[in-house]
Amino acid sequence: MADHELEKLLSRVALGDRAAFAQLYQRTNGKLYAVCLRILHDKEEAEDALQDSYVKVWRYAERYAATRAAPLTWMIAITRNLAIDRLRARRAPGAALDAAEAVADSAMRPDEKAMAKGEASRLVGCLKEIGEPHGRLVRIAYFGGVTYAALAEREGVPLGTLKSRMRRALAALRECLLR
Amino acid sequence: MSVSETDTEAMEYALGLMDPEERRAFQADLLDDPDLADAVWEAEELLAPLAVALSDRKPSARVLKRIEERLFVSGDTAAPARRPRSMPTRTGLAAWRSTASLFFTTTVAACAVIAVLFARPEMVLGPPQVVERVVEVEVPTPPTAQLVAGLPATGDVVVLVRVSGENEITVTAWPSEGPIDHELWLVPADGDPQSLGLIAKSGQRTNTLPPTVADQLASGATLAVTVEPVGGSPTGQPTGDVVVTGTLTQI
Repeated sequence: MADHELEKLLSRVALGDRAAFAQLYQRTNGKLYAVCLRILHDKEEAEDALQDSYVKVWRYAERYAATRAAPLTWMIAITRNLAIDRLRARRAPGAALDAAEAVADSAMRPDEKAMAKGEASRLVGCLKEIGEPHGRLVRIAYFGGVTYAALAEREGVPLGTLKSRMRRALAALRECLLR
Repeated sequence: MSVSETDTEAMEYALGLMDPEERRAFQADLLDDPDLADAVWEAEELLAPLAVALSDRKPSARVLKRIEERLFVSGDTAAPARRPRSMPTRTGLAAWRSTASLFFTTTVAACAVIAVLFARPEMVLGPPQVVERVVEVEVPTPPTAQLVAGLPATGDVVVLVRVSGENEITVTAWPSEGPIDHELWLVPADGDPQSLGLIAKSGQRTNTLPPTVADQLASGATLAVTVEPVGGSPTGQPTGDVVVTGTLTQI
């Protein structure tokens, strides 16, 4: 659904419009549920996280306008953070990283639909450009919320080294994306 | 800080890579700096294609039903509140009481028995069901008048809050697992909740409150605790769900 239509729905939701909220749900639940599933790998947990996300969207809809994010980006950020909190709270730290890595590995084969969309193919290209393991670590972090400390331990690299490498990689990623 | 450093930090923050101290410092900066918030949203925007590229998946039909039940049934008003919605408004004392013992790590000579309000803690999922009881607890108190509150964290743990005459607030610990933080808020009758800081996971914490916040703390003031990301709310307002509330009482 087009951004401006989602924005209109969000502003109506901010005013308490339940019908607009139901419409917003219909148009976005597919994507947000996919995010929850990708992070949590469990239908029940993912549905719980999805519920929490929409409750949060309802409660904080009026705050959306203050951000300059696209409406779906805003909702994805809410959803992703909630799902990652849930992942961290319910599993041992090592397991969260394992799950995130499994996700990242499967995400290395972008599906065809994604490649067709300009932004996604650009991001995939830029993630390749910054090289391994940085591209993979960005995906892991995005879907798994793992910290530098956890990554450094996992990769067997000193924390300081990992941080400085990742920071350079992130700067390069941003530069590539905004090119 | 150069522009590119800020933007890289914003990306680290969006990716959750920062350790708790860095995150906390960044969030403190976020409160004052709208440009920094913009940078974070820009980072989210740049990374969003990772999420958008996922194929849509279909949740079961009951999800919407449950969302609507949570939001629109059980007496909530239709409009989204400007403060966390699960904040109960009744804070009266109930008729029955039971005794509870608790552990409060401070060395003080005198002990006093005070009545505190207990609300049943509700974790994330259900609508708030506040059960109010009066419980007598033994709390060591210094001689000068104090504002105190007792907030039940888990079955055995009660978080105690004490505000001294010198605008110092002491909060006991809420042990918890995982990278979440519990944040304490003052909820004024009107206006936005004010953060009273994070609750430590062990030991206790004493902070000095700025006068503007301390002035609003009075007997009868409502306190609330929300579950936030590590480092507390990134926005300066509660972002997580309320897990317990209580009222400050003069002793």
